[in-house]
Amino acid sequence: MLLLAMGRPTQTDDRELTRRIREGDAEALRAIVERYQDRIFALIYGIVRDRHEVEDVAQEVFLKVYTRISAFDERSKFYTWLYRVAANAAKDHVKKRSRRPAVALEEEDVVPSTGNNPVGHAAAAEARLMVREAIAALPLRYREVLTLRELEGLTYGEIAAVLQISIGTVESRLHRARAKLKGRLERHARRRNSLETPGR
Amino acid sequence: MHDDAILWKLLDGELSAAQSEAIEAAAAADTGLRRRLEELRARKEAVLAGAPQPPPGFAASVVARAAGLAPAPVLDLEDARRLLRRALVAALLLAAVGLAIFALEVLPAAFEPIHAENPLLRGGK
Repeated sequence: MLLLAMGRPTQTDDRELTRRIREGDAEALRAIVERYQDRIFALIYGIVRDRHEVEDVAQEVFLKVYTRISAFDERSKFYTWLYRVAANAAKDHVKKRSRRPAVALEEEDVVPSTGNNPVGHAAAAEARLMVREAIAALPLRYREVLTLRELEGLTYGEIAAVLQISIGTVESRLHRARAKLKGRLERHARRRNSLETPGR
Repeated sequence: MHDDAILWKLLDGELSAAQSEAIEAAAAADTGLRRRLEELRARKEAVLAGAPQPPPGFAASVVARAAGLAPAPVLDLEDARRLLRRALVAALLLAAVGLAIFALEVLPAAFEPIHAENPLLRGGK
């Protein structure tokens, strides 16, 4: 959980930086980008599910922060607003793509071999790809709550604030997302087992 | 028996300390529950895999692109509310004036011929 691992930035710091961005200070924008870029990349990736498209969307998000900073209400937390901008940009991007989200199956995504057990390595890589395919196939509304929870480590209350929905809706979407994920993974495992034991 | 929803809440850190301790104590004594928790934890970790890192110089490239742009003046929410309230008051005032004119000028003129032509309404004779 990136956010928890890195610690939440203090509100005072963010307030000062956003005040300077309002005045057109590009160095303040640089500080904001450096502070949040890892988390925003992870969030966008969680929704877009294509490594090659993440950087473009992230650029768009931080430029929106710069040009639309006046829309940020200083009474709320900056990262909540930033996550909302990022989640909306990622969702818009997926909708514009107008096709099923691509799952990048490049070599860089495969788990690097660390031991001398090629069979175990292949199984781990396959399992990882299977999970990624299952996540990519989830509807957007489920993918975004799952990403905010698992990748960003937000609490249910924070997710509700970012997506402007109730905590109850967050809970039910998370529950459904995980149930769907479980169903897909089980179906995949059954298919694999039937391929491995033909004639049964 | 604990259902998955409660176990997920435990892993998400959404349960109280007392609830978490109760489930962890139950898991310590129940192999099935312990295995279930481990499965869910593994699935959480699988979701985390694969997120790309920003390339070196990403922040600099954003700042370079931002240099050609200017923060757009976006209407402040309070200003917008204030404007909306003023527009509403103005619209209500206009409507009230319109109704008053209608009541004073148009309605009496519309009923006048009836009074003039109807013998029953002329002086009551």
